[in-house]
Amino acid sequence: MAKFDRRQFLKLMGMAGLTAVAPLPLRRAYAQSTGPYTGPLYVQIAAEGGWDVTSFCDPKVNPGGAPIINQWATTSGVQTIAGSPIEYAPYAVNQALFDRFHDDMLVVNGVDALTESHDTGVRHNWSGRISPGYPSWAALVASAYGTEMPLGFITNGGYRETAGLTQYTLLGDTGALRNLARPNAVPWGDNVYHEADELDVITRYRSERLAALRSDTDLLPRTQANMDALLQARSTNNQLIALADILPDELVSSTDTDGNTNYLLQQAQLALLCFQAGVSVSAHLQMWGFDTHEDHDAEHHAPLSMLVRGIEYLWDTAEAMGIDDRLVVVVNSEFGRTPWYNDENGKDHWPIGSTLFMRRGVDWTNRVIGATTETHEAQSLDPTTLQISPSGVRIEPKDIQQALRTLAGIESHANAALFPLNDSSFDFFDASLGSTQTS
Amino acid sequence: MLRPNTRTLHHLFMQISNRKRREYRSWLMPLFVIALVFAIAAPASAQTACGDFNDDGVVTATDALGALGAAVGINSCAMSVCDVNDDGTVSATDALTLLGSAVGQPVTLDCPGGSAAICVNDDDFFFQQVWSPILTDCIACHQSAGVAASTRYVLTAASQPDYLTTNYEVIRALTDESVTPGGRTLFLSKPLGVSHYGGQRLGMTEASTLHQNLVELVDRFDTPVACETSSSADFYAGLSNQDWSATLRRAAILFAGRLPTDSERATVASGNESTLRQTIRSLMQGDDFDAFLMEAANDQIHTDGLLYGNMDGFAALGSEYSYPHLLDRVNEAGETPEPEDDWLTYERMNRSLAREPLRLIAHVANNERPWSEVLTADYMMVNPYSGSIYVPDMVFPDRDDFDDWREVTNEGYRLPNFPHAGILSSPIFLNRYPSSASNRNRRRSRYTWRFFLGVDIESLAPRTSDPAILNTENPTLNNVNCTVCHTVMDPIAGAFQNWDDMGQFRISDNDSLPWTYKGGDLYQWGDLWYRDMRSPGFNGLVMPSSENDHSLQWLAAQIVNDQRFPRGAVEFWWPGMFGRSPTARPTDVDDPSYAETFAAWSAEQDEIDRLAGLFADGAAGTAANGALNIKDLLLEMLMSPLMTATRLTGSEQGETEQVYAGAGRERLLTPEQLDRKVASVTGQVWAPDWDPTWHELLERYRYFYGGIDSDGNIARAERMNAMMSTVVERLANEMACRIVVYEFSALAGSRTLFPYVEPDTTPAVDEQAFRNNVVLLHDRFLGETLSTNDAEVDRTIALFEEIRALRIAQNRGQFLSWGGSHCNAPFWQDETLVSGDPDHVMRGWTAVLAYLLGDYKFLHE
Repeated sequence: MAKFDRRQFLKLMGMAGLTAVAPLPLRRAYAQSTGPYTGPLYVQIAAEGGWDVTSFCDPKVNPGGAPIINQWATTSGVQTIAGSPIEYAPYAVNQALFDRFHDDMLVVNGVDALTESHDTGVRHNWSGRISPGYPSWAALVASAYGTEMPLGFITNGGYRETAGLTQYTLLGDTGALRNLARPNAVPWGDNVYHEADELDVITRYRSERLAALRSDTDLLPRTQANMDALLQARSTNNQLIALADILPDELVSSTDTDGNTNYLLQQAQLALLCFQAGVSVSAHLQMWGFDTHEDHDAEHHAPLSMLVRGIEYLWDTAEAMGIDDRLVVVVNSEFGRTPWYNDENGKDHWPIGSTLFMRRGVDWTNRVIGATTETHEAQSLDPTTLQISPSGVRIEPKDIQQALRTLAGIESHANAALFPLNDSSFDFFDASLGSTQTS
Repeated sequence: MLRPNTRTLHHLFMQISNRKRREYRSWLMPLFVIALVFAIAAPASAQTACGDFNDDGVVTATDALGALGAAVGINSCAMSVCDVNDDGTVSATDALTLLGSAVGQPVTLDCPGGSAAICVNDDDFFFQQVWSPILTDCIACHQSAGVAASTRYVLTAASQPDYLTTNYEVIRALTDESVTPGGRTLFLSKPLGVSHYGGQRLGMTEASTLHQNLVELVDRFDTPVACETSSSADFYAGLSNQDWSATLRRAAILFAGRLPTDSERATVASGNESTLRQTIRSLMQGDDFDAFLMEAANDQIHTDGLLYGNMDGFAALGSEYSYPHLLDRVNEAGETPEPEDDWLTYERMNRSLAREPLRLIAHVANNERPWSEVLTADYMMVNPYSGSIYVPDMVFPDRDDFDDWREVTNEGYRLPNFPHAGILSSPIFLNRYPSSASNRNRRRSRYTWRFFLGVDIESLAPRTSDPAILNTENPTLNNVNCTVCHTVMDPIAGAFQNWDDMGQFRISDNDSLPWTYKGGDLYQWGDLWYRDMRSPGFNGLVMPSSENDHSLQWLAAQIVNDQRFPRGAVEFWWPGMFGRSPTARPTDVDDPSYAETFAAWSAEQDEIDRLAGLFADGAAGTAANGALNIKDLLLEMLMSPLMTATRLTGSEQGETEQVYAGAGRERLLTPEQLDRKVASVTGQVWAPDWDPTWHELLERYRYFYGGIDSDGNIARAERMNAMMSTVVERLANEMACRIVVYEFSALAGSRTLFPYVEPDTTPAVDEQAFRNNVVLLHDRFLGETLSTNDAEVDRTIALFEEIRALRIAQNRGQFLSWGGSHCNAPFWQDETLVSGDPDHVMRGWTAVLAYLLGDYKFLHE
């Protein structure tokens, strides 16, 4: 019977002297602080509903003798950028993204999600496994780098499976956030509910009691996990004061430069503020509205534009904060959309999609990996050369997730080892391999 | 490298029994010495056999030495190699066992992941090793609607009752040479790609594990394997269960939003299990039980999305064209001089409209009606506000009574004879799950399956084999990759034929088909449904055309008579009762924890089946209210061994993480539940003085505390995080002093929390009274039954004394209403509140209450 599970892993760690018998969160909670985190900051942006990459980063014109893929292609062609292999569709506000950010971007096309189911696609793309239970990449990152942060992994909906490795936090309005950052402060004036030394006493007694409860070896796993979560939460929540100090009275307007109501802006702002305050290391941002089964061209325009404006805002604000050089961004969706229009001028689900990786100051950007046919079917690649090869393999979400783990330097982390992905041999970040040649 | 700790070595050695110490002393001591001197690196090999530390193909004393080194932390060794007794740890005992093996003693080496023989019966083997990893691939073609429908190998989808048994028998017949000559060879060779239209499947070769699973299945047909069976109760038998008083407390907090009364506790303490069940059932009434029902139901159907999301109840009804009296009452309010009347009326009307489906569920439960009525009700629920729209001529005794909910038929819609089918025809439900011209009610179908039959259509076939195949004409009808789901999904979608995308009944008077379709070639006058989709129906049964006007009523009748319906109900209420969704079926046989997860899932499935059986037979709960009684189901779930499990027993400590991951119902309270508990336990609501109805946990901090809006955010937080913990801290800080002030401002005889002490009572003044009061607080806040000399009582008293001493030493203020730290009681509003605290007793109690309000056991139930 296979029993090399997480618990036993922890026991093994314990035997190796890394921890007594304390489970992982407990160990983290007591971990010695190593100073402010100065490493990369991770953002994943989900285009929820299934984006049309043929009108974005894997542009398709209309093949002769086949149904029309894109209406824009009846009047325009694929857009190219001088000195870059990246191409894009003349649709929405794509130009603003690709013209400006191509040097900071790696495009991976022809990713086969192996599904057209929304839930499955979301899960597959953000965890690397089609079955339930694997953590989101952002959660995995937080479990590696954010264990001493109160809001290690923040999210705005979407896939947020943590697999018990860490906790996620949903963010809301800033007034309440400020109250919570200083829970002993009276909201008006400068008084407090408990004198500081008295609060310290209360806190100490709480901790002692919780430790006593937790020392019971007969606790159910669920109780253990709940107690560990509480302990970890309490051990880090005082850091929220740093966030309160920099929170603006009002968040950025949710109306973007195109006049759309774009909540991605505020999501991005809050994420960056949390990064700046040192209370978070990873964030999941969410842009809705891509599931355009009807009137696709009109309906897809707004969410795609908002996605671009959100990405622009993210980088602009990070630059203003001086943390753009630490930002690692991945943009993805659960799958693509059909390379044809349905009877309602919509586009239905299509398993082939793309992924954008963004990072500044690295040599692996300004490239395109992967390819699709003229009718947007995924092509197989030779993993060693990243070139099209009939005997090669298709890129799947597990490859993207493995790449993300590599990018974050957690591919060998113990927590990643608990959720192994099938061996993925694509090295998207080997700049010497160049781009995939399509002609 | 870590250094060995000699104390640890000694401790390990002393843990071994005297007999074994004597037996192995001559071997062990030298090994300990050697282990101290050398650290041995285990060769890295995924194939290393159990016990063969140095991977040299034979177990010797050297391997025992390696294991010993691992046990004391100077070597690393995989559990699959060194945990030779499979107890979850590598210890000196493993080293001794290895030593015994090395010297030829008859010991068994059983490492995790090793090959220790475990009996798996045929049913489990079929499901675990054949159906899940293999046949779910086959069924894309080998099903009645698939391209392989004409073969002898046609499988039944997981959405069908008894699909496992059916499929097992199909394969048994196929591989029985007396029934199907040559069938066995075909069955085993086709997935290898031999003369198989679908080619090689899942990369199978004769040597692959998957193919060996098929071979073993066929062998098992010849030589059945039967193991000792165990029920779900047996599975959880290794856990200890909570006592009845704890069950009663949980029931009271969950169902009645309060603590059990002394009378209820006494009744249960002196009674038997039947008494307990009757007492719990009596808790299932009133507003707080309604709140439980509606919150638990909403966690499934999320119709509150029309309260908190982007669309509201008014929008769901469309316009005055559809409901001519839609805005009558709002307009009436607008004619009053008080502008707030407009808003209040609008808010109440919207809440009344949005809550209609949840009110139906509560109504069915409260009136002891069968769960089936949730779908078959030929009425809807209205109060005076929503009644003004749905039944404009109806007269209520008090038109402002929000809580006066009644059964009515919808007479407010512009067309007569509205065909009610419970929740299915609810405008709110239909708008929470809107459709489109291309979606064609499939979303409604999907959620109908999930909510009421416990079938997740998306899980039937999460994979597609080739996206290019989708490029076919009408793939959902013709392409096998799609039909596996759409065969199940589309007929129910068709039964929603009379409702348009936004839930309007026969929007064009005759039908609800979109104009984009009606303008095409397929549409014919009089059609109600698409000609290029499957006909309305259910589970292989086509709906008779005579039911066209009442298609949802026909569908509801089919669903409630389906044998999956009771099981669907158990799964519907599961998260509300257990604080988590049912365990997902593990699908990845390569997952290292697959066996444990599968065992846990399987036991839970047994328990769901047991509950469903009792529910269907009217034998659940108190077994006195007929079949499909919701209260009885909830009661039975509360009494489930899965829920009453509270602790591991010693023998189960090595089997925790995956196996018992779902056991117990101790859960983090939701914002709504914590809000009710605070009020019930303390007598105070956490709300600003200027608006006692604006509960902080339900408004300002709702989402920070893991609450949901039922729209974009539908997943509740199941565990505490840092942000949530600050909500608790603010709650404790704001409320503790307030509660103390209100308590001590009341006469002793009417106090709930401090009946044994006065504002000047310290332990030094009256220790027994003080201890009695601390015991009471632990009972009330934390559900702990302690003696007066319990260590936890001592701890609480120590906290009280330390705070007092600190304040006295610092010469801090002796009034609560001014000076020093803020006490959040409305002294400015109520001059009768006690403010003087010369002995710092009330400040001491304030600290104690802040301590208790933030306690683990206060926040979890």
